[in-house]
Amino acid sequence: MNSFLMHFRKLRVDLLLGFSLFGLMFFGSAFILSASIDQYEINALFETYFFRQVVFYFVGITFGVFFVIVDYHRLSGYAQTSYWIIILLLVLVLIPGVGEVRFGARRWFDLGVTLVQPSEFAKLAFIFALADFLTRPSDEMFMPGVFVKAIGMTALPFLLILKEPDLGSSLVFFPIGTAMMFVAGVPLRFLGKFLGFSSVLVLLVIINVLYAPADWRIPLNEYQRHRLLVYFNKDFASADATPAERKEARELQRSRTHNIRQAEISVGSGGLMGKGWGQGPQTRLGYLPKGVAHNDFIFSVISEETGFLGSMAVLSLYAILLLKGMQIADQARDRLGKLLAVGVVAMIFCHVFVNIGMHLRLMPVTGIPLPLLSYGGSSVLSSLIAIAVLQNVKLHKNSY
Amino acid sequence: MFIFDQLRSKDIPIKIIVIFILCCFLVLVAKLWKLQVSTAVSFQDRQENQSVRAIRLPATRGNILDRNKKPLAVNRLRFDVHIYIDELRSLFREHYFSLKNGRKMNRSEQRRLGKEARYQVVSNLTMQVSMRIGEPLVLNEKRFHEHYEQRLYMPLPVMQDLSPSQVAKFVELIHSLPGVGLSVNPVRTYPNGEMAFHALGYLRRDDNPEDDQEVQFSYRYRMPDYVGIDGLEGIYDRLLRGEAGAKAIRVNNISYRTSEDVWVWPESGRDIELSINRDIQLAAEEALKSNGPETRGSIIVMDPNNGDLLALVSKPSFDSNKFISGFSREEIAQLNDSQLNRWINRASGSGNVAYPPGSIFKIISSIAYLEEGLINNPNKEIFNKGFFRNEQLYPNYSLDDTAPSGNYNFIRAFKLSCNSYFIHFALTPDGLTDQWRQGKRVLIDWGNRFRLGKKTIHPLQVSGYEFQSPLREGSGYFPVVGNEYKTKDQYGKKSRWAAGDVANLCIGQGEITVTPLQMAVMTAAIANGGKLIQPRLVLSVSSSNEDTQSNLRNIPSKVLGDLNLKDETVSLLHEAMLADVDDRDGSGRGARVSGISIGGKTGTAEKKVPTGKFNPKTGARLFRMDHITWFVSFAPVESPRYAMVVMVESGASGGKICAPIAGRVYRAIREVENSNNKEGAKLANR
Repeated sequence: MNSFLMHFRKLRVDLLLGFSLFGLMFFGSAFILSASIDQYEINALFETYFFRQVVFYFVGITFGVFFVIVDYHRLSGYAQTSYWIIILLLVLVLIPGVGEVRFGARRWFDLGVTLVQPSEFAKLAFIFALADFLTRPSDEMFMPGVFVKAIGMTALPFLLILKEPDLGSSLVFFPIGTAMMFVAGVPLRFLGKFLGFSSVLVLLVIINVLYAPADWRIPLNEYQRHRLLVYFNKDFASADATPAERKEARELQRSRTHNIRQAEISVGSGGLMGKGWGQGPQTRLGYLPKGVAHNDFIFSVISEETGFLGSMAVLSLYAILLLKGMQIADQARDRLGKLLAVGVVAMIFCHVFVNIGMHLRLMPVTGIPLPLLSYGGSSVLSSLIAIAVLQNVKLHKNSY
Repeated sequence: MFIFDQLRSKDIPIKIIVIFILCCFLVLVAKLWKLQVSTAVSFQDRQENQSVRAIRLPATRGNILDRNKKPLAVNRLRFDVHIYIDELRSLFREHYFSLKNGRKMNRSEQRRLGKEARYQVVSNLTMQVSMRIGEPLVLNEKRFHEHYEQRLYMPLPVMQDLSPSQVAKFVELIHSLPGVGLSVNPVRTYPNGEMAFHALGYLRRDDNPEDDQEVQFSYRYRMPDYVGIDGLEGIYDRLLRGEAGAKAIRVNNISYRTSEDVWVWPESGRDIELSINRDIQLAAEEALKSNGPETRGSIIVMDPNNGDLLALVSKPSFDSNKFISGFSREEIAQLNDSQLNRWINRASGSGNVAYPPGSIFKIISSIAYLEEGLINNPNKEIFNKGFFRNEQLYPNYSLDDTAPSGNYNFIRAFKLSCNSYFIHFALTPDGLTDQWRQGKRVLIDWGNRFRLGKKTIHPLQVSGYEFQSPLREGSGYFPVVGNEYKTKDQYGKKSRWAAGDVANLCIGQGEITVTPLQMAVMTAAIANGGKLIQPRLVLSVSSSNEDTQSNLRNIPSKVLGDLNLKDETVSLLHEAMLADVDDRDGSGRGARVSGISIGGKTGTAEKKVPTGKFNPKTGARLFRMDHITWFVSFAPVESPRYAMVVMVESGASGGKICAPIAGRVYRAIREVENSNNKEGAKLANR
């Protein structure tokens, strides 16, 4: 027992980080249970979301311990290898018969016990690979070739994941990459040009989606187009549509906006104090669709049942996590540790902001999960490993 | 602070990223504050709106009872079978998968199959209910799908109004069938059928009546409700209907009911107790019908002491129950028969029907002559030639008399209804000079004192509440005092009064029409010695409070005026009216009932009725003569408790038709009194 405590002390676990971690896992399991409580009448225990999520937490913590203990310098030795392995997996998942299709997208491997989404792990591998790549003398940062290579490393998984299709997950790579390059000291004129160029590109895509006639549209998935139309509050029907088409379009629009409308009602009707655990009619009566309440829309359930105070608690836990991560980055002993920590923080921040922003209509609807709260093995695992990497950087900051 | 150290970091990019993250979180917090705190109410409303269906619950209608609390219009319990669709969801699912049988299907095929599975499950259930209660039931497919799509939160009606034996069978099997339930609803019923149809009125289905409620809910569904249209049901509808309540049904995202919650309990309507005595009313209806099923007429029985209407009959009538259960083709034809006109209340003259009174007006003439001293000696005899004619004074006027020629004093003239006698005193009391203007003045004066030409019932203020007249009443016509011209004739010509018009008026013809209710007030006034009493139909209205006994709002009786008659006049009139029934040659002898002293007066008025044809030359409307026959009476003469008016349209004569009908009613009244006395004696013996 004593030796265990000694080992534990040796880990120098950041208590605040641990607090926010367990706080989030507590919220996640409690409200996944609330969102899927009907399951207990029909399904066996091990088939329920709540049970599986708790299992994922334990598996994630186990992996996490490994990622804490092994010095991140040793881990980054495998960075390039794992990057290319994951790229290979992302290619494989696109092949019919190998990758599993769910909800019209080919994103998963079926391992029998559970589905695995390689794109979640791609983010981790990418962070390691880019941190490893950018850990070179700061003079080299001024070489355009390095910059272009870094962009290329970002774009490769982006394109593969975009093909699945999973626009939301794929777009996350750019902010992560940009943040890491920014911290690594890539000159601002490079980054500025890159940001300017991608902004113009995004703007063009949006203009194309919203205003271009049918023949001129870039080949975007139908549902992606619809999500953007919903976000910008545009009519689905084109200006020259017949009344029948218009009616059909309106119906489609209603059904496409259903989730986000119900999410907004859930959040808003929660009020200051919320309706109590398991008491939210939006969730209980199925207005918030059962298929998404426990994963992408878990924040609706939490904020309906715990109100503004609960939402603030969740935001605070994430804020602690992120700021702690930045502190670790600040105090890291070398560039590698700093870049790893910044990458992890950027990844978690993007997920949190995009997912919660989607509930509040600040962001368009995407399939991006809320780290540690949303149901899903791959997401939980990669989030816990990412946070373990933060702890790793902290643990080894003084061990020269 | 421990997590904000980075803001003091020397590493500029780290600092910038931290600030960026904090700013983004600030945006989230602000937006969350706006949604969850500032505008939370509007989202809570939207949430309520999509998950709560408000249902209007009508209140139970108040009862209408007779003076002995016997039911006239009450509510019976109706048992209906319903299917609660939300309880069948697992059956739907099972049946769906057994139909699907593992086949691959696209979305619309799945939807169609689901629809079919639902219909088959519910139809099957309906069949089982049908078999076990022994009533053929078929579930209409279109109606089922309509219900499913629009009112899923409501139970599906399967069968209405089960008989008691069906209810018994149903209760036995209720546990073996899923989702099937029995509901009990109050339904208006009139246990006595068409009895007192005009007084009680009828209801019409109206699911959206105006509510008094301060809070108006936006109802998604309104349970079946009724409003009163005519009679008491119509006039006192607000009191009888009570206050509707509201129920909330919480539904899930596909409109299945999940829970229910009553917001406002309905408040039952108030009970109304009438002055009607059901037994007398029933006897009177029977008596009038004994003249023939299509008799058009009216009977009023009134208590001359307080104005209580013990019976108020108007025929032909109709069964109020039919307005709830529905009409057959024949019944619609009956209602539309303009000759019989079942809609009007002949007793109170609703729809402005009124009749010439004929000889029963001689009661008012007699009082006028006696009170004004035109007849100063009632025993003085006048010779009747068998007709009235006075060549010197009125060369253009003559009138046949139904009374035989001979000498008449007042009593004999009254009981034989001698026209010549009454015309004599109206035109030339001394037999020598023309004094028709005096006759006109006296008759019109006294007619107005009896409040002819006016409605008999006025609204009453009772403890701050204004009670409307419970009857739709006509006022008839009577000339006002000082009237120079007669009413316009069919050509619109106005002409002045002449002696002949006064002669007609004194025997109740010409410039006069009355309603049976006015004649009842007149008869009661003679019976009670000269007080005009307002007829009273409603005795009390129960308070909305549970504590009924102490809170009954009693409607007081009201005296409209005192005629201030001399005692001699009253006793002479009583004697004459008694003679009309009791004497062997009295015109009202048909009303005689052994053991009761009845005073009466017959009347047979002539009325011009348009034939519907026209003179081919002049284009003038053609008329035929019709008779309105009357018998007014009161009993017992010594201490009157009943005043009665019998009126029959197109009868032969008052004596032949109406007096025997009155006799039947008096006999029935005697029986009712006897059985009451026996009951009273029984109670006393205990």
